[in-house]
Amino acid sequence: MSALLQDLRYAFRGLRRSPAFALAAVATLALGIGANAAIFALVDRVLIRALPVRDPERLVLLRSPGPRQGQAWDDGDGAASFSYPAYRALRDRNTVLSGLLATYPFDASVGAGGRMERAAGELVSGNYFSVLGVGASAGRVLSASDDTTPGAHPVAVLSYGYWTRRFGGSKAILGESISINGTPLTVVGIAAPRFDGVQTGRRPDVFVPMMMKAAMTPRWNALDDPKNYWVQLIGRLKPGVSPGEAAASLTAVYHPLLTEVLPAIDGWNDQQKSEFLARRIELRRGAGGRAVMRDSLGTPLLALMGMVGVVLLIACTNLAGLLAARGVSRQREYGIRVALGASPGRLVRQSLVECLAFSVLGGALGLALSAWTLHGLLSLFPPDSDLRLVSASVDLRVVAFAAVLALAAGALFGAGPAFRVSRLQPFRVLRGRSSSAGREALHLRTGLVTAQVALTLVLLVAAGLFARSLGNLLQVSLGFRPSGVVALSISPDLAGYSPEETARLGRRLIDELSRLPGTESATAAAVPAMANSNWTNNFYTAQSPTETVQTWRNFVAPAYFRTLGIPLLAGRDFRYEDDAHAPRVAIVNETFARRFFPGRSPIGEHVGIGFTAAPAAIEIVGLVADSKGAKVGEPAHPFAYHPYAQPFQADKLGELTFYVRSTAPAAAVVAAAQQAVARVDPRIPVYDTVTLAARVRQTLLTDRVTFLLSCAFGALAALLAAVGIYGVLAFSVAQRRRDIGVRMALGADPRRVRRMVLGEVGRMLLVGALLGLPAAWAVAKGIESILFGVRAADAAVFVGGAVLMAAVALLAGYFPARRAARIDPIETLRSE
Amino acid sequence: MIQLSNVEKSFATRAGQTFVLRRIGLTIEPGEFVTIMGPSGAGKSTLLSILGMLDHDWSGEYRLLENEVHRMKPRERSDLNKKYVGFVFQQYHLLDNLTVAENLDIPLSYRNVKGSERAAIVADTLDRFQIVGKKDLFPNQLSGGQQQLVGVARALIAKPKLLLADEPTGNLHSDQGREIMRLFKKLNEEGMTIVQVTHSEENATYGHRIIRLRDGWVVND
Repeated sequence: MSALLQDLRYAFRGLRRSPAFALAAVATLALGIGANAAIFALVDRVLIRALPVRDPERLVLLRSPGPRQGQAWDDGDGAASFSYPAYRALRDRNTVLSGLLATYPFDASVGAGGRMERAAGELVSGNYFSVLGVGASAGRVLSASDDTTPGAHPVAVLSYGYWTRRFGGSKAILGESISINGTPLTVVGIAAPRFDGVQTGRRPDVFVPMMMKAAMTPRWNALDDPKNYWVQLIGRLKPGVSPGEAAASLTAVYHPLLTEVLPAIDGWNDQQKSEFLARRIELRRGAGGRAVMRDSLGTPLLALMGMVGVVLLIACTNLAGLLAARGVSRQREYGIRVALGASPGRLVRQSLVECLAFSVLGGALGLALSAWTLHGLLSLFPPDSDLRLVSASVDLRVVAFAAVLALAAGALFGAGPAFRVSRLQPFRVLRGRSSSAGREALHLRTGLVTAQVALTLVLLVAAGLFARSLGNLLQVSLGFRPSGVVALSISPDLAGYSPEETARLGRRLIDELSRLPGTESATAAAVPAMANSNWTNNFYTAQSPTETVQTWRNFVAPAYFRTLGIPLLAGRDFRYEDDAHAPRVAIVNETFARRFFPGRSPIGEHVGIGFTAAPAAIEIVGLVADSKGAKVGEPAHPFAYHPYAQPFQADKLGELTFYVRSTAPAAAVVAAAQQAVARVDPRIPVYDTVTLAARVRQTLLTDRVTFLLSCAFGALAALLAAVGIYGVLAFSVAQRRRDIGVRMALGADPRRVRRMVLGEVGRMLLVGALLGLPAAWAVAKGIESILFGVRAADAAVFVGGAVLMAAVALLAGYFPARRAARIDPIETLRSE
Repeated sequence: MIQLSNVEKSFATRAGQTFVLRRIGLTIEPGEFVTIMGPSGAGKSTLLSILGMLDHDWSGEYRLLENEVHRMKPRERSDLNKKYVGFVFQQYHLLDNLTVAENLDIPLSYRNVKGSERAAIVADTLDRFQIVGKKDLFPNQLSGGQQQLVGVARALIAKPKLLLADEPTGNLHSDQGREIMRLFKKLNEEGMTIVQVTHSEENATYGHRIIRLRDGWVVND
């Protein structure tokens, strides 16, 4: 041990005595490890980390893919939602789970201490906490007895974070009543500190018993509706039961439920019915909780993790190259050590310990860099975005990851020098004879740099593909003009407003907003634009009532199209007279018109909506241009707009998003709008106040960040490769100084010498490209699914990547080539 | 102490096998002070490195204190080297990053001597060679003579039975050279077996016996 410490002490002293080398090596490693640790912090939170619950490996997520009819709530995986009656039956009749919980997120308007605030609510089954094995940090958690009778359990549990944030961590709140969505609930407990719910990126503030559903979501209840799919289910496997056995057993319980529902299904043919009855229960691993964020961000995150991994590999090859060169200059030292009695094993250990010193320093600096990088990266996202809510930070797990990475990197770049040390010929070295070490080191470094070129090419191509993808997204025509428009949302239903009252409130607020200084027009809609949410139903025409097409819908106030800048191509806009007492009307977009009424005007035609099972009685009164609804990259959907005062029974108006096109500054509009809402009803909180342009930018944030990071990693890789190429050529020129001098003495002109040196770059480029381009293609295939309008085999990107790599390599090689061309042959030969 | 029989060393070239040493046979008794001389390229240093077991690529028979070196694996030869041999080099070959005391410590650390014991031995050696005042200096802070003195101290610190010196005064001016040779003489008188390679006839006079090599052959013993 003392010998090991001695080696370590000497290694650090060696670094101090070669500060430039140490700085280059440590900085290279720190950049590689820092980038990896930062991305790993996100990957760990989103993809790896298990929920802080008892025995998370036994948790399973339930899914049931296949056709269904009715209403469905979908937050990314439609197959993961079940009806509440189905949950009850699966919970009570299964024999393979020790517990099955149900959960459903809702928007909560929380009133306490005279202040209303919007918060994240979670309706949970009574067994939620017991199935998960999560306790209370104060008071108690909910239990099965809190969830037996609809409307009879006005209790709530606060999350630890919300309790400290909103109530200052005061236990005085226990037993007190708070108002959630207009209903008084007694706070009975505070959940365990580390528990943030069962879905990464969504942190519930309040947990409310499922039986309080009607009060928490005033517009719909659905506790008894077998055709309404809205709860997500998480089960805990009994000991000794495998997921496969559990899925089969649960499917057997599920089948009779499907058979019971079948008579209530309308308009399906035999094949649809048999597909419905063939639905099975599938189980996914549930240790990490619900997989919504994993599914949406998994591929980009893994792509970025792969990219930073390649950056680290490049950094390691650079270090191996640096150490190879240093090893040549340390041959004498190793020779002496052998002569003094050092065994090969001892020398290998010393060499590895020196690399460990780099690893320790590089890892420590890398961790500091990763904290800074992660902070910078997350600050790009809005405070309420999923990625910010995962609370990724440089914690012990990231530190452990960085440590393992640093040690692995140390072993990787230290293996070469250690191997060479073990083969040392001390006799030749100590006699000062020329050994083959310099030549071997040069060959090794050339090989390493060629590998760097290949790897860098992969990153440059990936960055190019992400750039093309973002470029395509930025060129997409939105179909509306977001600049100058401010959006803000309210949920009057959570303050007890009926749909009719909400419609009246909407009109009153639109009038108020229209009177604000600078307002050009103001309007409202039920579904917010560019918020990644949509509302769809099947539509049919009077001519073909059995042929239905899935159509995107929205309920909008008059002047919606004018305010957002969506061109009205034919017919008329909505009027306030288009209310519940007037004939039903709709405005459709061009895709809808093309799909249902090809080659003719849709104005005056009639359409119907699937779930109403009514004759096609909605008259189309207007035609608007296509525009993007949920996000920039979506394809053109058939779209039907309804007057917001003309809801169907199932379309009760709850939330409203207002839009104000104004010449006044956005902040002034928001402040004035908030005052206007407060004047009308101070119980209604305003949320999601943002300019429409910012919201469009937010929908592209993941693409922008992926592009930015991939470019940063590509640039870093190119920089490291340039350093590597420079280093190997400078070393080569120094090694061949005499050879070049002789050539020049024999008549080689400087241009020929320059060409000779740059020829080495050409060879490295050629071999690197032959290796790198197929690898880049394989990577491109892997990320193709997250690209927009770009094929994996995009020739321009591949050519661009190769040209950029060539430019970097030639630039890096130019300086050693110039130095070679300036060698004075007389001087060189004399010194020999 | 040392018996060489038919020791040869060669390497392949395009022109065929090139010999560095040819059929070397010699015996060195304990307590002898032997000088190997000869022109450059005669094979003197090669012979010295074979004696010190730094070179494994040779043929013939080599016995060191009843150990059959020619039958040993490199690791066993390395162990034998650590047990019996100390080296002094023309270029001193001190480790630049280590202080004088640390340079002296290194051979002991390679022989797995315990830390506390090592410190005592190093202190004794510094005292014996009167270089206590230099113990915290780095090699580049010493004169050539002082560096070689440290080199000799380092060669002797593990108490070898055989001291091999390759041109030990080659980089020193004459006064410093004589001082080192007097030290060798004293060590020999105390019982140390010494084999030195040198071009200097004056240095050879400090020993008992001169072996002359030419083109790899022993031409005079």
